[in-house]
Amino acid sequence: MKVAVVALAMASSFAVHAQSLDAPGAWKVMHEAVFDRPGMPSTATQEERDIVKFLWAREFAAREQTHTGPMSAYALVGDVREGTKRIVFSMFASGDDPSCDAAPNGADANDIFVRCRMRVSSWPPSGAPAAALPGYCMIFAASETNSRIEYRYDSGSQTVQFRTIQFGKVVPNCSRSLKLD
Amino acid sequence: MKKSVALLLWIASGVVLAAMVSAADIAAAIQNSPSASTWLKQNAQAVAQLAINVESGGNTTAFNGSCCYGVLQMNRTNIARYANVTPEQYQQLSLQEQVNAWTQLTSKAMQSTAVTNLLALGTFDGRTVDGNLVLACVQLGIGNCQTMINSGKCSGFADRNGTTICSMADKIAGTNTGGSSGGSTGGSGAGAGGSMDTPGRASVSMAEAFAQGSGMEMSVLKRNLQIIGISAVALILAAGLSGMWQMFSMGRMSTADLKLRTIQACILLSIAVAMISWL
Repeated sequence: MKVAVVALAMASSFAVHAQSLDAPGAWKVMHEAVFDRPGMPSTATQEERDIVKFLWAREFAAREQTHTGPMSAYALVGDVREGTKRIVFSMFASGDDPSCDAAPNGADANDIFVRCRMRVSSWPPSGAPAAALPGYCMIFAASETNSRIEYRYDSGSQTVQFRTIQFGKVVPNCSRSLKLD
Repeated sequence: MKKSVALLLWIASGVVLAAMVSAADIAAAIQNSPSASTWLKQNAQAVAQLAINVESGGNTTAFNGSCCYGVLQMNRTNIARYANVTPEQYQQLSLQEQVNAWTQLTSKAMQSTAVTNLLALGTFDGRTVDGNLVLACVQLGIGNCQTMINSGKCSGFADRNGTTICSMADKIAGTNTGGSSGGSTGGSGAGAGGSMDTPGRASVSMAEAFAQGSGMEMSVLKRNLQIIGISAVALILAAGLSGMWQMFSMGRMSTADLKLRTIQACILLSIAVAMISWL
């Protein structure tokens, strides 16, 4: 239902504006916002960091404290713009926060992605609740491993596709499509 | 010169050996961890067996080539969330610091629905739900564990190497038959599979049996053998260096040659130390 709220807003907006600024087929990398982790740079802009702090304010404030301050937090953020309308996709991971599962440990394990909730929100905030979609793959703090989350918007089908690149290869089980109508 | 070479060799050996820990060390680290739950402290020996028998052999600098690091092979994603350091920095942390990060993750995971459900079952796929199975459930990820529980069979989840939660539990106990998924999942149909623990029958792990028979833990013996091996290599090289020093003293060897041979000896010792430690 929450998805539908956002999706309908997107669909109505896109019906008016026939052309999308995002060419189909152009994959974009979700930017990474890193908080309270000295020495690890963010690829997110300051504006994206502020958006993440707003959208995940409750989780951000609820982080456990260590002897040096709050536990580090990681977020991925991306968006689709159409005129003045903007839909933001974001995921958040920090310590014990239940937004993401824990990754498997072990000598035989391979995967570095975790399954998280993705929030789909209109921006600036419209007052409508954000849609929370479980089971989306998230990779963070792994820039040197040639791993990332990518997305692209197809205005024809009004669909956002997500894919996960892990160690340079696409992880098929992580590919998702989000239809916005 | 002789003294400095000997000192260098001693330091090189010490640096590598410092990465190896015993089951007793790991169990003590669990007991001393402020973030370890009561359950984990009660099952500290099983955690130690997980580290020694399955994950790293007690090597705190271990890396599996893809995701996981340290004595308990913590995923780099979990390292970022709980240890706040890079994987490379994590490898250099002390055993206690590595264990603290792992217990923080695991103590929370122990409260998950998947673990609660597994414990409530009592038996799963014909086997008793013991500490080893619960640890394997948490270690391989509670999402994967829930997938297995939903399927009702050990074969409900296997990673790409064929490791199931049940086969990992068998490895922790030291009762693995050597098969990947087949060894532990194949028994589910028959119900009386070879390596499966049957309810009511006490299982003694290989490590425990070894300790009972020899009076020494496998990990301690391994470390002692490594020390002996490295010492033997160091002694041989020291003898060689001693001979070279005599030749140098008698003027039959140049300073440059002596330096070159010493460097070669150090490199050789480092390689030997690394190889012996890796075994």
